[in-house]
Amino acid sequence: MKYLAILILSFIILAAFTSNSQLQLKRPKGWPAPVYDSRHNPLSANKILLGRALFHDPILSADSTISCVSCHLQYSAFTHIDHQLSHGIYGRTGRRNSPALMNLAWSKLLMWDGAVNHLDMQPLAPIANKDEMDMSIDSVMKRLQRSPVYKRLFYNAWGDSSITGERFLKSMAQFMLTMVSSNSKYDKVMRKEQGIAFSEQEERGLMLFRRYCNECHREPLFTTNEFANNGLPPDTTLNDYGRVTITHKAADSLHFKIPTLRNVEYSFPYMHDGRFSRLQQVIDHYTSGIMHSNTLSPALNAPIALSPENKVDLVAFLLTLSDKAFLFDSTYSFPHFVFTP
Amino acid sequence: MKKVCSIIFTLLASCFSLWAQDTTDVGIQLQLWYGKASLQSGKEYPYRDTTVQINVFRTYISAIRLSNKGKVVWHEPDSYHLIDMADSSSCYFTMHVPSDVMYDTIIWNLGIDSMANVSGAMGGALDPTRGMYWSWQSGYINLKLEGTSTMCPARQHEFQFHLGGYMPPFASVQEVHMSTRPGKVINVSADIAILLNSIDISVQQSIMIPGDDAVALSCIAAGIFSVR
Repeated sequence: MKYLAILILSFIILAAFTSNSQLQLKRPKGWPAPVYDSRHNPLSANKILLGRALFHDPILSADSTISCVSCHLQYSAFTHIDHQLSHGIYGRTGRRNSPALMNLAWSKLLMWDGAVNHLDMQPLAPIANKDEMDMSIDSVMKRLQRSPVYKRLFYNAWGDSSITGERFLKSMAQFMLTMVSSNSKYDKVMRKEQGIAFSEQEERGLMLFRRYCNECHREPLFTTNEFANNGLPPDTTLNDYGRVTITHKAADSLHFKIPTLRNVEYSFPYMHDGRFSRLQQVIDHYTSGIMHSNTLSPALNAPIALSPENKVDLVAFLLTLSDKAFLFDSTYSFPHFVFTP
Repeated sequence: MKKVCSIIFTLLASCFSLWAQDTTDVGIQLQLWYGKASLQSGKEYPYRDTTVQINVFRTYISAIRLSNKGKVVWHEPDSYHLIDMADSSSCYFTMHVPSDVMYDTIIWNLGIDSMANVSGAMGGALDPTRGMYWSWQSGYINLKLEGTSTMCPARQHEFQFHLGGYMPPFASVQEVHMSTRPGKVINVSADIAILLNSIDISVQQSIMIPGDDAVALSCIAAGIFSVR
């Protein structure tokens, strides 16, 4: 009788592990707890795969030409390189520079102005935006419901082939949650991995970084995920005042989301309107381009004085935040195998 | 063996006791009106000196509770209902209320609470594909009222009021209290004329964002309900 009970118990445990195959949100050592609560959306390999297929599929856009990847390319840290403002269907140009995507589980509010309050809800914005995908979410559902591929993927992920907005959004969120960048040289040095050390120049850059930049671009995420006015004079062709349009609070005028600096080497151009194409220009802005106003970040009130050598050292440090393992991780790439029978 | 049997028996017994808890089905029947006429799409109704047609009326009713002598005695679990004038089946739903509960008031929220607004993707009535979720900014639309009137100077004489917003100071969810008696069906009337007559559509034709206007109109919307 005792053996039977043990047998049944072990069978139950085994079944739980194989059929459910629940995955854990990756949390690199020393990082804060993620903001995303995966208890309401437990991760599984098939849901992540479904999200990955959707992320790469132009089926989401009105004329089936634009996918998420169009403006969020993996090799450039999931942003749109070389375009100040990202463009969508029919060559329409948007109002902002598409942000680089990574470590989204730690981000409470998304978009440059924090308009989106949860990672699950993020895809709704670019799908509906006239200048991006220009599709209503229920048209997207109807398209997916007609697709044998997605019927199969939803079945595998959710246990039946019913395609709903909730399942669609949760699957996309799961894929985006897997985009964790934590294997840069910086990370390896911090983990004290053998044979890896900063050069003297990088070390000097780190010291400068901690003195002048860390307040907003805080380690280890290299952002506080808060909003701030970094002293950019508004572009008069865009008149974009950022977060104030969401909160209607005057104190939020010209506040934009503080972007992470991880993979900054690859995520050019920089700023919400993509006005700077090189890191050197960004640093020059902080040393000599600040526009003072009453919503300016207090961290930028005192002038930042950097010598030309300092600037080079700072850039050298910023390059240690590049994570090639992340940029070339094949688990984020186009899953051609799900589209070929 | 005996032990295993007794465990199984206890489990089964507790399942039965949950299942057999004595509840009564209480129906909520919503009747939509424009003044004294029943609300129908495409029909003309008097509005100020002209006429008006209502094409869309959709709203969320949530967090339904019953109270007795000022004290909440029961609340419906997962209580989110989307009422749509285009779908008469959405205007009737049943609640499973414990039979011994006495109540003199029904209370609900007109709109979606802030917690549900920040909790990510949800299904059923709250599925973002139901046309009641903003895309450009996170948040549910608590109430949609759209129609046409010759008085309305906007394109094709259309007016559109999308009321929502969950963040203070523009939280627009409203509490609705109505006296009632225990019964099989609670008949609730909603008079859209009250809402529309509070707006001068020759001046204001649309509300599409959270703000003072949305909050003010939401307060009025809470007053369109009454138990018959």
